[in-house]
Amino acid sequence: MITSTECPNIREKLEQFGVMTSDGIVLLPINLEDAAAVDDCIFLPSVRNVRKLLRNHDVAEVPIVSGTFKALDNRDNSFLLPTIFVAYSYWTQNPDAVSVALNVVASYLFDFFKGSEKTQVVEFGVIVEQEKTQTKTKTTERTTTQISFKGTLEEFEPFKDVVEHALKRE
Amino acid sequence: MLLSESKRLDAEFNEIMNSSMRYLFPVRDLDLQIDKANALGEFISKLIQAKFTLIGTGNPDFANKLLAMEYFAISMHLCLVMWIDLRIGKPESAWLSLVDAQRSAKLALRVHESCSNARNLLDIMDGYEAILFPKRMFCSHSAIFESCTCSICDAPFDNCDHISGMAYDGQLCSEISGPIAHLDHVAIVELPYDKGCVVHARVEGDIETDLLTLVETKIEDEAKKGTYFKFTILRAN
Repeated sequence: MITSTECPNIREKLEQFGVMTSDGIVLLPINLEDAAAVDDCIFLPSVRNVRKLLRNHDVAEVPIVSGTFKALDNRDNSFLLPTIFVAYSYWTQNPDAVSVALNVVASYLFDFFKGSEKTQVVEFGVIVEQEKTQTKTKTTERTTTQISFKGTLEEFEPFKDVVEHALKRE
Repeated sequence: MLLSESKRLDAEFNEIMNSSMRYLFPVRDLDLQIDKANALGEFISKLIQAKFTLIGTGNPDFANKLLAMEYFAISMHLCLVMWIDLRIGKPESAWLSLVDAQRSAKLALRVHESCSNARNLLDIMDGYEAILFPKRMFCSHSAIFESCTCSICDAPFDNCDHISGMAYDGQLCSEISGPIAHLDHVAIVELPYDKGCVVHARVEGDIETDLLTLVETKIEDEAKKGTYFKFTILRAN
């Protein structure tokens, strides 16, 4: 299942935490909305592996917390991946980065779940920031959309297409 | 490892795996099933020894292949053990053997492409799960751990480049969690991370019902009477 929702103020919140969103992809904590400070942030354990995979494929990632962080290990059957945030200023300068990141994640999932592609449920999300300048009024309108995926690996390909389509839409 | 040794090991592996398949039926003689399981156990030890001679010798692909063969052989071994456990009246143990066999087959598939036949065994085991056992309930937990280290290099897991669940030179990378810092919740679920974390009994008043066998046992200890489920939260696997 792929869903799309508006989720404003992500960048503002990250910038409050001192995160330079224009420098790379950001792997979000599960409690960004409630976290009052960086130390309150709780992440999914999969952040560790996703961070390494991105690094190995030269995709820039800006950590909210550098070094060791609090991770909530959730032992049910859904494989939870972190939601990633992509600022407009980053993806316009690095148009292929999100596509590479999605392919890296997809490849990892398919390797990891060989033998259970039809049953293993994966949850993942990408938050894309977009800007549109009105030519008449010269005002800039910013929208932030979360595209979420929950499904089996066999259904992952359409999710990648939806995200890539969102990045092309201006 | 010499090429001739490697070929001999491959041939021995194929022979023992193919012949073991013939014993995956409840009508087979129990003693013959036990003999076959023991033979597989010995062969697994041989594979492990061969793998250790390769680790660190600059042949990671072959070391990973041996690791995959080891997992595939463990899967077959546990599958036989499941039948043996069922036949000697140990259904809960049979369940654990089955879920560990399924897990090993998936690891074999993941670790090296040479063990793609593990998919067939996995399909057979999925059939066993559906036919031989009733639908079960499981528990899962959610917790924050104090630390997490890498099983390959012992470094804090955030600091190294190893990816958990992947094989490196014949060794599977795992995240080793430290003590629980905060237990968020424990839940009863239909689809767990680990099917070994199973709800195995229901207590109502002074009667405990085993949810696999439906055998009822009277509880004498007053402190243990009540209405609740009994389950395993964590187990080593």
